[in-house]
Formats: sequence, structure tokens, C-alpha cells
Amino acid sequence: MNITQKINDAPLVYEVVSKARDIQQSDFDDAVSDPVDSEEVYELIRNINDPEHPLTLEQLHVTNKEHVFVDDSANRVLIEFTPTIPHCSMAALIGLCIRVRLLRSLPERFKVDIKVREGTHQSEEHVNKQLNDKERVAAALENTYLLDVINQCLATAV
Amino acid sequence: MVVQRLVDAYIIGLGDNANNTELLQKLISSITSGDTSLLELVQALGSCLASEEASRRSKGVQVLSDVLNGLPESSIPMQATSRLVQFFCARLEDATCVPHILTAINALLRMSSFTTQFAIDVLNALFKEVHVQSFQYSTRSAAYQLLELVIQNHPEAVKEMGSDFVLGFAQMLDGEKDPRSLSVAFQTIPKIVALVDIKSNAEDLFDVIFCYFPITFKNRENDPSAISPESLKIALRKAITCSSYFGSMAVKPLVDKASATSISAKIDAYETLAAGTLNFSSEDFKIQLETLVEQIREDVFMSSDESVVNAALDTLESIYSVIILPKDTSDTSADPAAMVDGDEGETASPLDYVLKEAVFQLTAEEIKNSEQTGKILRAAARSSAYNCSIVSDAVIPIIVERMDATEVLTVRRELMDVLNHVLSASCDVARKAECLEADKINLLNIYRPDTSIPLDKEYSFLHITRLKGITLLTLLPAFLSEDETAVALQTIARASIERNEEENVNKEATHLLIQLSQSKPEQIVSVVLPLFFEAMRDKLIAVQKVSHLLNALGAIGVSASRILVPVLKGLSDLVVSGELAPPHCLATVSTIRKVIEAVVAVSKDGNKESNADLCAKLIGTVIGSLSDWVYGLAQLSSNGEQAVSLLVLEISRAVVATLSRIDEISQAEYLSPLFEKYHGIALQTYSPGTASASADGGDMYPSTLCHLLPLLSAAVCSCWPQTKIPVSDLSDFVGKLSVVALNTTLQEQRDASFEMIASIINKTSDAKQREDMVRRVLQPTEECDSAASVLIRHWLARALVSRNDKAGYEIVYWLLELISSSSSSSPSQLAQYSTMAAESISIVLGDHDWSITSATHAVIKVLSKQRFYATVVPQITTRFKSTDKEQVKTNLLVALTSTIRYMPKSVLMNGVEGVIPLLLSAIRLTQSSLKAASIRTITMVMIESPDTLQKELSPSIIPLLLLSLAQDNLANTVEVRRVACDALSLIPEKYIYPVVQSSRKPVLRALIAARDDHKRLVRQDATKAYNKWLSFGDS
Repeated sequence: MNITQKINDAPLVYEVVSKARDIQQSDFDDAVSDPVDSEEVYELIRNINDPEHPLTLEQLHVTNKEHVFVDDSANRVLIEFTPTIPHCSMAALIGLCIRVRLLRSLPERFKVDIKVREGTHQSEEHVNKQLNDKERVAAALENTYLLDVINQCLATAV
Repeated sequence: MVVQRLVDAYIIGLGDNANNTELLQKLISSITSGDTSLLELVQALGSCLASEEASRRSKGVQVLSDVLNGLPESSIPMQATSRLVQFFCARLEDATCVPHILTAINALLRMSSFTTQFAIDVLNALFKEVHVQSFQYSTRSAAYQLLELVIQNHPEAVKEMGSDFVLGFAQMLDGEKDPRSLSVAFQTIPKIVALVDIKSNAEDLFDVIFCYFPITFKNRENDPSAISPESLKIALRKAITCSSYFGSMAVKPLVDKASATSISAKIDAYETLAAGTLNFSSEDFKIQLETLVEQIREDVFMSSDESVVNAALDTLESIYSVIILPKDTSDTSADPAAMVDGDEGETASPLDYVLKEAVFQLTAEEIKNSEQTGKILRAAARSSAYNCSIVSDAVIPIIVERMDATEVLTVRRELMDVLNHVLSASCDVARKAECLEADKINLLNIYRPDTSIPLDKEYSFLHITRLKGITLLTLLPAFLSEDETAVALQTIARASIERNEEENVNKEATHLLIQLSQSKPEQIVSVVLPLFFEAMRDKLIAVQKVSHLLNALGAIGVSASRILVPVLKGLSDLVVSGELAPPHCLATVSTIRKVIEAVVAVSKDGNKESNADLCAKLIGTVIGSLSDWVYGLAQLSSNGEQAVSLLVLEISRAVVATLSRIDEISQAEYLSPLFEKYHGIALQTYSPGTASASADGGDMYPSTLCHLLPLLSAAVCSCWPQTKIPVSDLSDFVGKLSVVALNTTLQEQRDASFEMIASIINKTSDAKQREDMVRRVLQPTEECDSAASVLIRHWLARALVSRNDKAGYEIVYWLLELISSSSSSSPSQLAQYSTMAAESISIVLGDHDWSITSATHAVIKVLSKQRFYATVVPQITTRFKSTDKEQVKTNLLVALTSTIRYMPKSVLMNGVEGVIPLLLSAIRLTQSSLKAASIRTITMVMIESPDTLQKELSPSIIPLLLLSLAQDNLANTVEVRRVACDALSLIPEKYIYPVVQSSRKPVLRALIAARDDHKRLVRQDATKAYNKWLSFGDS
């Protein structure tokens, strides 16, 4: 993968509006359960760095709070992301970063689906298939070079 | 000959780079003592100085220079100075000798025998013979130093040389690249300009200096020369702007540089232009004015960088302040319009460059960039009162006319924005333009509230702009009449009070009131405050609105000292009058307390006297009436109302904030009526079932009044040690309080008694009296085995330990004995309180609102905490080791954790190793707060001294932390689980992988489970720790 030549060298950068949620009294009460919700999952992924730019996925509007869907009781999470340009060849890598981040952060009971938002990428189906195929993901993560790139992108997300 | 031998050895040493200090000292001391003369030294050096070999000549001069630098003035006779100067001047043509000659001349220059003529000779030789830039830095530095010394010691020489000096200096500097030398040279230039008329050489000198503009360099870290880029920039700026002769040459290139793309260069150019206004003539600027204004406009309109905009506007203001002056400066009231039209005739005013564009913008169909236009107009107008009049006269009629003609709200807002900027300039120069008076009615109309415009988000900008305008009109000197000002203030106050969808209008209005409170305090008090108080009286007022009003009032009160007392007085009157709905009383009293605390804290470092006066005034007005009010409330209320207790607590804190800051006489004056009122209540024991008894045998008071005792306690505790407490016998009083505390069933009464006993004993300086008091306090405990008889010892320990009294430690040992006793095996009745005694150890060191704190003048000796730690912790450790009873061990751990929790970090780290095993046991405790405190202490040790824990890490610390993550254990509260995650996430940062290799898998497993915790905060911390452990050991 040659990332010296940037696919999109002048992306639109948005002002970050989301902030950490306020801590309530009930957050310290063990009698109250806090189900995993979309805000919590979005918090996990919003600071992932873009592979090309020193900007977060949130700043580039690749990820968006409204495009994270969580059903805690059914143990399902669906993330839809928006590549900055329709022919972005980094789409699969960005999706992979999101998947790895959630693999390392969400409770293991969740089944996570990651998709390119409909109509935002020219090879949408192909990318979606790649991202949700367990074996292909596992194989990709065995590639040490790729894993290094992913770890770099995730370094800011901790 | 001794000298010859020394000189030879010295020269040989120079060749071998040997350390010649000893030889030099010998030479110097032999000349100083008179054994050898300077002449003999020169003779001894003769062969070297006259040698044909350059290096030998250089060495010869070096010896002479070294010796001259070390000799005191008295050892160099006048004649010798003259000869040496002649010699050195002649030798300056010998390039190899120049470095040492310069240092030698610098040594001679400090002598009083060095005459002005010598200075001229040296300078002539230097400028003629030496090409300074061909030498290395140290030599160049010596040359600049020489010039500095001449300017400093022989300014007449510089004056006499005149142009020759300037030219020589310019040649010398030409080509210099070292920032250190440049910094010195730039600083020299203004000094030269002050001495010499540089008219004929201005261009030469300017060319040499200006080529460095804009100057930037990066200084290396730890650079010993310690020149910052900023200081170099300033030095160059001063050099460029130091002479009026530079003006004609500097302004044009500076204006050109202002169009540079580099932001720093742009700002530098602007700032240099502004600095130039001090010396450059106005004509220099006038020629370039059009281009400059154009450039400034471009930057103000286009630049996204705030600092560029500000630099540009400041420059505009500075330049206009010098280039336009009224013809007759003494007559500031001269009509500017007449001057522009009449005196100057057809010639355009320099302000036209600004005004034409502004007028164009203002008359355009759609007004764009109103803020920027306004800013430029304001900068131009602020330059002088005269210019302000010109700008106002040109702009305001246009705005007024257009406002009349248009109904489009956006256009009106833009126009108002520009108008606000112009008016703010009038406020800044403190002079109103003539046209303002003429247009007064129109202006008032512009800002008149328009009720047809809804107060919602869409129009909030319009409202805010209008409010700002009203504020400016109010601030304009002698513009609004008294009545008009009142109406204006009412308008702003209403905007602040009335809540609407858009909070920004409220906030802005409050902010404007705060601004106005500085200049119009009287009107704020007479007009604005009543409106606020009226709004608070509304019975149907919502909680949110009350808090908004209180915040606004608090901010207004804090902003100006003259408004503070009226605000607090008004609020307290509101509370006392009973007009305030009961739920809002507490919020109001709380605001009063916060405002008082904020004000006295701010002025802590300021004028202590005025602070004390303020506090005295507040006690007389606010605190007094609130205390009386709450007294009446307590009399009426049924038993044990929590609301009263909370009110009393707030008022007590206000009492502490004010009373602790007045002198002891005023404190005593405050105390005496207070004691008359509360003395009986404090000494009356309440207990249900039995008849209440008064220790004084006086009248009985209803028990509800006991809720008021914190007021007495706060007042007693706030006193200085020397303040006279109004009781006949203090020891007796303390003894009686002790009896009451032991027997009462009302917690407020018991705590208040404890606080007063502790504070009085702590502030008693006489050791004997103190001892007597302690005895009296403890006496009743001998017949009493209640919990209070244990707690009273905690309070005594607090009072005595903080002043390093050994009696305090005896009490602490008694408590430790109790803590170490088990209720099942001990015959003593008190043993049942051993756990409570352990838990209450925090009383000894913990924080309190007023009893024994440094703010309330308690005697707290330095190192008292250290001493407590050093004495008590080993005791706890020993007792822990010697017991095998689980309960006792738990008690001791509780006591230890409570002790450690209040220790400063520096104290704790000293000898922490011994405590670690106990802390680890404390993690097993079932009390969650102690568990969390223990883990926190472990974490702190991990940060401060990771090596201490290294051995314990894998065998005990990590397994204990993992156990603390389990959510099925009730002791593992959210807080415990979070601190455990924090501690775990710290390990990969502080230790190398091999140390904890074996624990990685179990840690990851436990953290995976913790990632599914039912509390979100724990999940977040667990995820953070998991990711750190996951990458731990990878690299």
C-alpha cells in the first residue's frame, strides 16, 4: 500500500462539536445499569486517526454519531461510515480500523456490522463484504505491516 | 630575571594549551606588589612583540592583555596607559594580534586614566585598520564591547568623531550574521543616534540595519547566549525607529512588508510601523498612507488570524494619532468640520482613505462586513478626540438617515453594529462628537426597543447589538441625562431578567450590566437592583430563573465594590422580609455566602484594612439580619427541620468568611450579644425521655434552637487566639460544654460543642491552662461510656496534635489502644466503639469548615502532620503485626488508611515501604471507601516511586487489583472498580514488560470481563487499561 501519494489530499475538515457526556450522580450508583448506547460506541471510534491525514474520523465526518446504531439487549452494533470521496481506496482500511477498535473495546457479546453508508462509495458492496467477512478480517490482521498501520491509526483513540 | 622566566614559561604554556592561571597570578601579584614594573614586563616580552613570527607576536600580545585584564587600576600609571594605547593602536594593523589587542584595550577603557583623546585614537585605528567581519565571533564581540564602553565612558569622543563614528560603525556591522552580535549592535544604535546627528550618514546606517528586517532565528534549547527571537526582534525595531531621519526610508519598505504572506513578518511590519510613530515625522507616513490603509483594510477583512487584525488596527490607530493634529492643539473644542472644509480647503483629509470606503459600504444596498468596517472606523476614531469627531461627523448622519429609511432588520442590525463601534471609540477618547448632540433624538430612536421583534434565536443578534448600543450611549460622557440613563439601564436590566428562548440575550445583558457597574454604580444600585429584587419576589418564579437571577446579581455585586454591599443587603432583606418563596431562601443565602467568600478571597492579598472594613460592614448589615431571621425561623419551626439546618450551615460559613477577617476587638464586640443569646442554649442538655437540664440552671429553651448552635461555633472558631471570649472562666465554659456534649442526644449540639472545645483549647497559648482545660473536658468522660466520650478525644487530639502538644499524642495512643482492643475479649464497655474510633481517626487530620483551620487562625505548627505520620504509623504497623484478631486488624487498617488519606504526598513517600504490606491488606477490606483510598495510595506510590512496588507487583498487587474489578462483590463499588482499572493501566507505563510478563494473560482476561461491566464509567476505564496491556510487550 503506497500512502505517500494521498488519495484525497485536501479533505474538508469540520469543527468538532461533540463533547464527552456529563457525569451524573447515577453513574456512580451500582443499582442502576448503564446499557451500551450509540453515544458510548461513537466515543470509542470518533478519535481514530485517518490513515492519510493527522485528523480524526470525527473531524473528517467519516464517522457520525447519528450513523451508529446499538441494540444492547440484542447484542448488535451497526456502524455506517462515510468515505471522504466516493473512490477512496482507504475505505476498507478505515473500516478495518473501526472493526479492530471495537474488537478491542466492546464487550465480546456484541456482533458488530460495519458498512459504508449507502451511496457514498463506488464499490460499496465490495468494501462491505470485505469488512464483514470474519476470515478476511482475521487474515488481514495477520499482516504485520497492515497491523502496524492500524495500530498507528488507533494510537489516538485510547 | 624572574619576570623573563615567568614570561617564557607563560609563552611556552600558551603553545601547549596548558593552564597558565598560576603563572598569570604570579605575574600580576609581582606587578601589584611593586617588585616588577609594567615596563619590565614589556621589556621581557620585547623579543616576542617584535618577532617576525606572527604566532609569537600574537602570544606576546596575549600575555600583555591577560596581565592588563587582571591588574587593578592603581598598578597602571597614567604614562603607561598612554604608551600602551599608542602601542596597541599601532599594532591594530597586525591582524593576528587584533583579538588580544581588543581585549587589552577593553581592559584599559575601564581605567580613569583612559582619556577621551585615547578613545578617539583607538576608534580611528579600529575603523581604519581592522576589518571586523573577517574575525571570529569572540573578536567581533570584543569589538562591539569596545564601542559600547566608549559610548558609555567617553560619549564626548563619539560626539567629536560624529560622522566618522557612524560610518565606521556601519562598516563594522555590515555583513554581521551572528544573532548575539546583532543584538548588541542593534541596542547600540539608539545610543549613537542620541549622541550624534546622523543626518549625513543616515542612509548608510539605515541600509546596514534594515537589511535584517524582518528578523527571525531559532534559538537552540539550552543556548547559553540566552537571546530570544523576541528580544532580537524588539532590538531591531528600536534601532529602525530610533531616528526621525530613518522615517523617509523605513515607511515604504515596511508598508511593502505588511503585505507579506508570512504572518509573523506581517505583524512585525505593522508593529514596527506603529513604533515608528514615536520618532518618524507625519509626512513620512502621509506619503504611504493610501497603500497602508488599503493593506490594513485587506488584512482586517480577509485575515483569519486575530493577532494580524489587532496589529493592523493598532497600527492604524497609532499612525492617525500622529498625522492629523488639530491646527490649534490648545483649542480642542475647535469645530473639526469647519477645519476640514474651511482651513484645508480642497485638500483631502488623510482620514478620507478610511471614510470613503466606509461610506461606500454603509450606503450599499446590502451591507457586508459591518464588523470589520466598524473596527476600522473605531481604530481611526480612537486615535484622537479630534479624529473621533471627524469620523463621527462623517459616519453617524449617514447611519441615522439610512436607519430612518430602511425597515429591513438585517440591514438595521449591520448599521447598528457599525454605529456601536464608532460610539465605543467616543467612549474611549472620552469626548463626544458635536454631531452626537445634534442627532441625539435620532440615536435614541435607533436604540429604542422594538416590541414587534420577537425575542427568539433568529433575532438575538439584533437584540444584543441594540443592548450594546444602549450601553455605549450610557457610557458616553455627558450625553444622556439622569432620567435617560435610568431608562437605558432599566432596558438592559429587563433584558437580563426576562427569560426567553435565547439565553445569549440574557447573558449579554448581564455582562453589559457588569461593565456599567464600574462607571455607573449609583444608578445600578438605584435603578437596576430594585428590578432584580422585584423579579425575585414573584411567587410563581421558577427555580431556574431564581438561579439565573442570583448568578447575575452575584456577578454584578462582585464586579464593583460600591455595589457589593447593596446587592448583599438587598438579598438578605429579601430573605428576611419573608417575601421570597421558601424554597428559594436557601439558594439566596447560599449565593450571599458564595459572593462574600469570593470577594474576601480576591482581596486577600490587597488592602487588608479595606477588606476588614468591608467584612465589618457585612457583619453589621447582612450577617446580623440573617442570623436574627434564622433564629426566628428556628423558634417557629417544628422539631429538627433539615431546611433550617442547611440555612444555618450557609450562614455559619458566611460568618466564618467575614468574622475571621476582622480584628480581635471587633470580634469580641460581635461575640458578646451572640453569647447573651446562645450561651444558655449551648449549655442546656437535651435528651428525650428525661427532662432537659441546663448546666447553668437558667431558663429552658426549646430544643429547635439547638439547630442554631453552628452559628455560635462558627463565630467562636473564627476568632483570633487573642480575642476575648465573653465568658467569665474559659476552662469552666469548656468543661460545661464537655458535659453537654457527652449527654445531649442532638447531633448538632454535640458537634458544635466539640468544635468549640477543640478550637478554644487549640488557641490557648498557656500550656498550664491548656492542660487544665483538657483535664476538665476529660473528667466527665470517666463516668460516661457513650460514643461521645470517644469522639471528644478525637477532637482533643485534633486540637493538640496540630500545635505539636505531646498531650495530643497521649490521647492518640489512648485511641490506638481502644482501636486495638476487641469488643469480644475486652472487659471495657468502650471496646464496643473500637471500630467507630478507627473510622473517626479522620477527625484528627481531616478538613473542616471552620474548626482548627489555617483560615480561622488556628495554631497549626509546621511539620505537625509529618510528626503525626512518623509517630502514629509505626505504632499501627507494630500493633498490626502483633495481633491475630481479624477485627483488630481491620480496625487498624481503617485507622491507617484514614491517616494516610490526609497526608501530603511528600510526607507519605518518606518511609512508605513499611506501610505497603498493610495497604495491600487494606485492599481486602470490605469498606469500599477505604479500599478505594488504599488503591489510590498504591497508585500514587506507583507514580512517585515505582521501584518500591516492583517485587510485590506480580505476586500480590495485580491479583488484588483484579479481584477489585469483580462486580459481584458488594465492596467493589464503581469507584473501587475504576481506581483498580486506573492502577492497572498505569503498570505498562511504569514497568518494563519482563517484570509483569506472567500476569499479562490473567490481566487481559479480567479486563475483557470488566469491559462488559454494567457501569459505563468502569467500561471506559477498563477499555483504556485493556488497550494499554494489549500493546504491552509488543515492542
